[in-house]
Order: sequence, then structure tokens, then C-alpha cells
Amino acid sequence: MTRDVADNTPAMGEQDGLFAALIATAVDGIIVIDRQGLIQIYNHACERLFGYPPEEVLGRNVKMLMPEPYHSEHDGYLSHYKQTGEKRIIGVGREVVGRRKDRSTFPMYLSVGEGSLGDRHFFVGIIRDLTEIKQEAVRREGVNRLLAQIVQTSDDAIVSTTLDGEITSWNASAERIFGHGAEEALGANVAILFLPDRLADEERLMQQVRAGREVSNLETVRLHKSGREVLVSLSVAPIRDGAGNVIGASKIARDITEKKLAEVRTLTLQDELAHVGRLSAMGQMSAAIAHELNQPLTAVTNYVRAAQRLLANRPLEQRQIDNASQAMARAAEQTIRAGTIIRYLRDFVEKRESERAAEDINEVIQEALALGLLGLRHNNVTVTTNLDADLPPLLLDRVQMQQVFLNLIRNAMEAMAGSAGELSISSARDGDHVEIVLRDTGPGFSPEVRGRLFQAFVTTKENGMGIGLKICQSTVESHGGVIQALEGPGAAFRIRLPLAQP
Amino acid sequence: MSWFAGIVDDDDAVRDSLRFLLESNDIPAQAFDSAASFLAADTSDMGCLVLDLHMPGMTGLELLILLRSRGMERPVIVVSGRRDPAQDSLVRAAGATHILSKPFEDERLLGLVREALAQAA
Repeated sequence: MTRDVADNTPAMGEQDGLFAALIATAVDGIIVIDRQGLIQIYNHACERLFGYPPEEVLGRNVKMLMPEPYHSEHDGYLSHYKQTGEKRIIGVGREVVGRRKDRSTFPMYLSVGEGSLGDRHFFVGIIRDLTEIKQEAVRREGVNRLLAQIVQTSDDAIVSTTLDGEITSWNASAERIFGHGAEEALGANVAILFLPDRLADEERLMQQVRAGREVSNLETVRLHKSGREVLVSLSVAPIRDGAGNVIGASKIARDITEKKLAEVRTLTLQDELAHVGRLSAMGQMSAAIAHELNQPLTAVTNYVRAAQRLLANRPLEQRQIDNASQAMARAAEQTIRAGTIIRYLRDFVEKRESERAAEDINEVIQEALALGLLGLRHNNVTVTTNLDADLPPLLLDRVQMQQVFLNLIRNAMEAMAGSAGELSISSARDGDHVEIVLRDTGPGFSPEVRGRLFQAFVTTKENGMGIGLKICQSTVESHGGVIQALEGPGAAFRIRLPLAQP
Repeated sequence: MSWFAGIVDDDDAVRDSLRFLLESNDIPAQAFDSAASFLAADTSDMGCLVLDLHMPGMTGLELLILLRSRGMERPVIVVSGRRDPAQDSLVRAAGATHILSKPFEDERLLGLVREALAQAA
């Protein structure tokens, strides 16, 4: 301090030195101005804050330390106060902006007091630099915004609750996974997500949280708003207040329903294959037949029940009679379909030798082809045949062998449905055998599927009469022949049949 | 608002007879021959779905998982010609409301469909 109020106030006596030391060592900036706004005292802390040495400041108007608009308005404040006595900042503190010598500005907290020595009035300003606090607040706000963004865009449901279970935050994925909107969920109890018979488990979980422990990746079940169950992997952590007391829980739930379903699906498929492996060939055939029979039986039941219902109307209208009659006709068609399936089953089981006769295999193929292409609506498939016209007749059951080709042709058509494709069929003599090859341009089989084509009914549903490659195989083998699936492209089968013994 | 019952079954006879049965009982019905044709249709007024499991292309189970993951919450009644416990639990986990064996008693299906449509209304 180059000059201080004590110079002009001899009454202060020896306390002057004490006050001077106080002001000089204060961490906060201290400025004293007179009623004209001229700086009288300017301590060391101010030198650091504003960058001016005392000699550049003392005796000058304090507004030099203020940026606009305070700079221009400050004289006005002072004269307003002198005229009206109305205080704006005096006696209270507020956050304002200071200007350094290099004209940069900084946020500061300013408290102003008023005093007098004799007839001299002055104002004391105490200044605290807010720069670091402000920076910290901005940084924290940025971190919070980033965290909020992460929470909001996370694929996992992120939910926080009080210790009583009241939901205090609820992100977008929580809405997606559990069905409740944020407006419903916030303030509600988290028990809306619990299965009633699992409440004890939830209580144990919260005990862990109250004890300050975390729970990670617990697989459990939650309730969707619709009542559907959602499988989740759950992690729970305690939320603490500034003093370290646990005041709530944060919960992160990952929807693992689809993952679990995929696991179960794989297991089911393995089970099914193992099961099929244990079944006898006859067992497999009867399973396939039962499945095929269920379709026409279902249709018959539906048609007959519908007709019954229509005929129960009183008064009975002609339209209803007509509809009932139509339903009965369709039911009859379906019983015939069921009968056909049973007849084919019997044919294959009995393997009647009696119906075998010397047949032209090319004719059998052509007939099967005609049947196979019948009734195909969106047929973009080109069929090319390359049949050896000089083949000797084979001893075979015409109907059974037709069924084999029909089955293979139908499968090919289904595989190529909806897109352009080609089915090629060839026949040729190979020593004492005839070899027939069918090949389509559909997706074909993976090596793994090709390996078990004839072991299991891995089929999707066949239209109408096809009852599986297993039956094709047993028919071909009962004729002393062999059927094989060939490598791609497309699905390809080779059938070798022996020539009739001379 | 008139809600309809959706039917997805690739078997022509089963599909047609189901539609016939529902319509004879004054229940509006729309039938689809594959998951793909169902997905291509406007089904915003569908009150429930009667779904076959074994279909070429997208299976009934895959369609069910897809619909549930898209937030479809209407009841889905699965009809299956081949039942086994592992498949049943899978179908339930995927969000099926009921599973019926083919062939089924008409009253059972009609009751479930009526209940579902009343719920939707």
C-alpha cells in the first residue's frame, strides 16, 4: 500500500499498522474508494487479480477495473446512491465481472460495505476470484451432459431408484425394453417391473445395495408393461450422497431375451436331432405321416364346425346354406387328401412286389414332371430334360417311383419359388444301372444338412403328398437302387437303379 | 372400429378353413400364406393373430420374435401340428399367448379369438 486511509486519520493510532497488515495479507482482493469512485486502497491480492501495480491505480476511478457495461454505468450508480440513498449492491454481495490490465475479464464475487471516518465516506469492496470455481462448474456441466448423453443413447436400460424403490431416472432404452414411458415410470415404484413371485429375490438384491455392495450380470426376469416377460442381465450399484451414505440404487438392465431364445433354439434343434436319431425309420415315417395328416384333419374340423354353426342360424338364409354346403365340399376334399396320405403310407410300408412291371423310366419321369408342375402359379422355372431314349425297361412300381420323382421335383420348385430358376433332369445308362440326376438352381444344402438329409425329417412342410426324402430313399432301396445328394451348386440328387435281370 | 383376426398358415386348406370358421362366427378375418405376405400387409387393425409354426421361409417362431421385438403386443395364438415341451417353452418365451394342437376344438379357438378382439376394442 502506498497510501492508506490511516494517513488522514491520526485517531486510529497504533492500530493502523495492524489494519495495514490485515489488508496486505488478505487472500481476497480489497479495494477502498471514496464517494467519487477514486481508489484509495488497493491490496496485494488485487495486484494479482487485476495485473495493475498500485501506482497505476491509486487515485484513479475504480471503473477502470470494470468491463462494459459496468464501466460506463458505475459513475451513475454512485451518484444515484448519493442522491437517493437507494442501495443496489451495498451491504450484499453479487457476482460481477472484473477487467484486468490486459483487458481480459474474469468472474468475481464482490461484496461492498460502506464506512466513514469523520466526515469522509468511503466504500470497501472485497473481491473473490470465481475463475476456477466457474471453470470447475463448466467442466462438471460438460461431464454431466456427456454422462446424460451416454445414459440416454445406451442400448441398456439405465434406471435409478431411491432405497424405497421410487424411480428417479429412466432412459430411452428403459422405455423400449419395459414399455413404460418416462412420464409413467418416474415417481412410480420399481416393483412395476417385478414378477409377483420374485419379490423376495428383489428384496435380497436391495439388501446388498443398502450394505454398499454391487451386483453384476445377474440373469433374471422382468415384466414388460404388456405383461410379457423380459429376460435381462442386471447390474446394480449403490448411489451415495456427498457424505458416502447409500441413498439409492442405479440399475443397468440388458435385454437378453433374443440371445436366450437363440440358445434355447440351438438346444431344441440338437434335442430334436438326437430324438430323431433314436427313432427307428418307421418311427420317423409315422411322425412325418402324423404331421401330414394333422393338416387335412384340422381343415376338416374347421370346415365342419363352420358348417354346423352356419346351419344353426334361425331364420336360416339361403346364403348361409350355400356357405355351409361349400364348407362341406371342402371338408370332403380334405378327407380325400388324408386318405391319399394314408394310402401312400400303406404302399410304402407294404412294398407290394405285385405291382412291379417293366416300365420305361423316362415315361415315369415325364409323368412326375407333369404332375409336379401342375398348379404352380408363379412359375419362373425353366425345366430342361436330357433323357436317353435308348434305355431298356426297368422293373419297378410305377406309382411309387413316380412319387419319388414328384417329391424331388416339388422340393426343387419350392426351393426356387419366387425367383427365376432352372431344373434339369437327365437319364443315362451306366453299365448294368440307369443313372438319373436332378439338379436345381435353388439355394441347395450346406454340407452339414446334406449329410443328414436322409436321416431326419428336417423338412419344412411339403405341399400335398410329399412325405419326405426318407420315403424316397426307402422306395429307391426297395428297388435295389441308391439315392445320393450331390454337391452344389443348387440341390442335386443322383438315383441309380439296376436294369431288370434278363 | 372393427378389429380383425389375422391368420398366417402356408397350408391352403388349413388357412382357408380357419378363415371360414372365424367368418361363420361373425369374426372378421384376414388370411396370409406366409410371414412375408403378412409383413407386407397393413395390420394396424389386427386384434389378434392365429399363427402356424412350420412354414417354409420365415417360420412362425421367427415371425413371432420379430413382431414382439417390434413392439407388437396383440395376443398371438400359435397352432402347431407337432408339439413338444422344448418347442412349447420356446414359443412361450417368444411371446405366444396360447398354443393349440392341430386339430383343435373350434370353441377353444373361437373363445380365445373373441376374448382377444374384445380386449383390443
